[in-house]
Amino acid sequence: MINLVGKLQDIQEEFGYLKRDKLDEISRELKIPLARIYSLATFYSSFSLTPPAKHSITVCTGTACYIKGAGEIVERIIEKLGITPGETTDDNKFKLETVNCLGACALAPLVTIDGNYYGNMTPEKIIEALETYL
Amino acid sequence: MRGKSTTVQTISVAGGTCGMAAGAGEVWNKFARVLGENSPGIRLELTGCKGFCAMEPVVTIGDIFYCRVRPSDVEEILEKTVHNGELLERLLFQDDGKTCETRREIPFYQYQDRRVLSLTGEVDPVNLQDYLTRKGFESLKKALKMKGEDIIQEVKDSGLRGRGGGGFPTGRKWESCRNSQADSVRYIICNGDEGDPGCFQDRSLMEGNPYLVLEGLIIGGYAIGAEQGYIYVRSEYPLAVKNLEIALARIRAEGFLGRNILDSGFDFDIEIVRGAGAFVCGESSALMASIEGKIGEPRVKHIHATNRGLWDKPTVLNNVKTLASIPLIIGKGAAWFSSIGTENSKGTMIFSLTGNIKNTGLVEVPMGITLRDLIYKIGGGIPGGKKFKAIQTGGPSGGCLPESSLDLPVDYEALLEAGSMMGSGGMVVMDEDTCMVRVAQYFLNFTREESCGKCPPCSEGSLLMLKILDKFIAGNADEDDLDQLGAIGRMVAKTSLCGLGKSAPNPVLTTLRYFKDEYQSHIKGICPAGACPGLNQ
Amino acid sequence: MNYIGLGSKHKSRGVAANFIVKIVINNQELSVEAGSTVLEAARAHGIDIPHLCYHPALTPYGACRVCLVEVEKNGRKQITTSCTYPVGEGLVVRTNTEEVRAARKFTIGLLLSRAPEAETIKKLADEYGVEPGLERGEDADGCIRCGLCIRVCRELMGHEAIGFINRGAERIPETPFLEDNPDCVACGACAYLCPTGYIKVIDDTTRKISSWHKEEGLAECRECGRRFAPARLLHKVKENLRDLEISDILDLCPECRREKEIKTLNVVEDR
Repeated sequence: MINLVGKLQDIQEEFGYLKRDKLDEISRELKIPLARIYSLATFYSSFSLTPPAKHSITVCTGTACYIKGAGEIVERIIEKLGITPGETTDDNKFKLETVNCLGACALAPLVTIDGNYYGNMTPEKIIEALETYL
Repeated sequence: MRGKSTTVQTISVAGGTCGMAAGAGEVWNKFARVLGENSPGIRLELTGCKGFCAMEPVVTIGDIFYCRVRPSDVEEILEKTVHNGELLERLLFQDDGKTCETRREIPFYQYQDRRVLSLTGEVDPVNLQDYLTRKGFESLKKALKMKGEDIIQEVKDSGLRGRGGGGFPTGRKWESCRNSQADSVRYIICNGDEGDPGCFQDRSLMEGNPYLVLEGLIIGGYAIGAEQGYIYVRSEYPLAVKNLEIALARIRAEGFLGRNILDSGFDFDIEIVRGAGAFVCGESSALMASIEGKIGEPRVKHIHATNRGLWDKPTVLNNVKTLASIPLIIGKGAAWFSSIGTENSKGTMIFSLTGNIKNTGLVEVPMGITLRDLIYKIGGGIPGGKKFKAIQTGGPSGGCLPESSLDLPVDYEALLEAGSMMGSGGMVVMDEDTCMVRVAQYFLNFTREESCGKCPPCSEGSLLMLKILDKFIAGNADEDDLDQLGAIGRMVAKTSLCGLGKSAPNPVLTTLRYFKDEYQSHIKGICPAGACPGLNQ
Repeated sequence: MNYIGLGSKHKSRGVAANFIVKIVINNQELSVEAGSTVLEAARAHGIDIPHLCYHPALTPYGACRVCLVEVEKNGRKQITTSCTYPVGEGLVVRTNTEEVRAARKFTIGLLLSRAPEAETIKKLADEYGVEPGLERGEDADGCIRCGLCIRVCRELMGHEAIGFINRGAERIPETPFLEDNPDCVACGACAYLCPTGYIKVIDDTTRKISSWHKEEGLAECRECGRRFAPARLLHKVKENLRDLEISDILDLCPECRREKEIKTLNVVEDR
């Protein structure tokens, strides 16, 4: 049985996004209609169809983070970088995303930048953290 | 002062995702560097999460429990505590001026009964030898000498119910799968797609004691007559995936998995399937669709998965905690398991205690404990001298319960009656600064983003409710909106296709039930929590 | 009961032919074919249940939530979609209670807010006294996400040129990358089944289906020269029917074909 979702995850991992020619290739080789592949690519939030930015910022907006002010953190990043969740800065340096829960609620509110965890964030601390990537 | 130890001392650093995020990795590295290659009498261990997340990074040496350890503390810990048996007071847990010298004295642990979690945080998660010396896989050996029916009977007798949501009796689920479609291929799936925000018990188990989960899965496969198992893990949990992969390879090499397991003639294998970021995939039919390589769209379930599930074959889907309970039931017996709990909810339950609470962490308590004990005795109450307002249980499908519900015993039925649910065991505490209208909005936004979009009551109905909530938050709502909101919520619950849609209005309906006055204040232009800009407090 | 019913496409699975069960619909005891759904059983007995995403030739989908009914089994009642619910001995169905009508009214309102101009939905809305549930303004694109287009393309035409993209409120049937997809031969079956007119086929010198970013050349009739069918579709049909040796009539437009058939009939009758 072909694990199509897994195949796409492999591509996402290798290239940082789902490259169109790779999707065409899978469609041809496995004889799976491109419509089905595109449907999966746009349904699951861990897939991206555009190349990754240099730095990826993920703000956890799980319940615990929400209660402890994740909303303000997001607002502050939007203000600083001029992008809303899902967007990338014009210079392709930062991509901002929100995630439903990273499961590290004791550190709420929590932000990850390039996979590094920044816990107990405040609107001030997140700007300090961002500065180190500018 | 303690006497200098002559036996091997284990320095154990909690290295779950939460610990690592708090800096446990640096602490462990420092220990490793200072101790060097050769340090007789000392064993350094990186374990899974010890549960007390608020105190991470946590380091234990025997009974000694050090909180919020920094790399700069390492040399002193070695010199004073490990070599001289002296306690470092500043690193001990302190509560209301009382210093807890041992872990047993810490109220957070005192009231717990860590059964399923007994090894999580105590062992090196992927060290198979550690697991084996603590009676690991003894239950599998015992099970393989039993008949499938007898295992199922034992599970039925234990009273174990699903730990991921609805609380369906596990033994009955297994039985109906075993008895369905004779001669058919069967599957068993472990649901590790822990999507409820504020929940991390499944992550902690998969990261901290993967062998226990896998042992339960293998026993389940044997009991129902499956040859293939899957473990579906959320993509946001890379450490869980990594530890499970290592654990699988090791048990396969040792003959606990694969062909002719332990010479019993039973063939069984397990594949890890990574989720791709969709909350709805926690729903059983959507999860199976996802494994089949389709979009995670729920199917109508007039036919149970135990009859026609994955690839239309009889399938059992169990939560991580459910399967992790199985080796205990087989090993210690149904009577032991059901000796604690309430009449219809047996055993223990693992909760993630988060939000506005002092002792954030993962706790395992007997079913039937009151919410009050959970929050105040174990959780240490609300920080910052604030007042308790609500506890949210059951994730986006659950509800918000008020002060007056705090003496409820935690069991499946009691929570359902109160309008919430056990769910996967998330408990988010909210203090007086939390606006309940905005909490309802938060959860509906969550559902809106995570709805698959197949049926309009869920995807459109949540939009409809959000529009009304916006009016409350802006102070433009009237009494009619209050009625409308409830009516729409009840309709969405009635007409949606899957469990996600049917339970999506719960946060709205429970806040309407218990915090109606807060909605009414918003109508008058007042947000009692002072959280809605533009409204008076 | 252990038989399996998922509608006409699945009747053969695990069900003995002509196996009959007794159910009650609206106090009327009916003998119905095992393996059918409540909606199919009701239709077979002339009982009307409104529906939008159901088609007898396609796998039931249960998405539009208009065919809701009350079913009662072992004393337990629930509101559910009749297009997906399998019949079983002793099942009691109520298709027109106040609760059922209220539930349909709610879902029709939601559909109306998506397709306020669609005649089918407007008619249902009138019947149930519905106002649009949500004023979507320009966002009301006219598609109710019933998935008939996708299912007919995949299940009957064997193409799967389109699929649902995105999720939640952003979900919409589309082609991959929102561009013309060569897998689509512009057969128009999707538009034929579309209950709201969201998918439109415009034939001129070419066939245009704007929802799928499609423009396909139309083949000329061998006799009258009129452009009548998408060239690639015609080519495909000819390939599939190669063994039947009827390719010469496939080059004719429907009118010319009819004329030719009449002539052939006359020849036969003259004999």
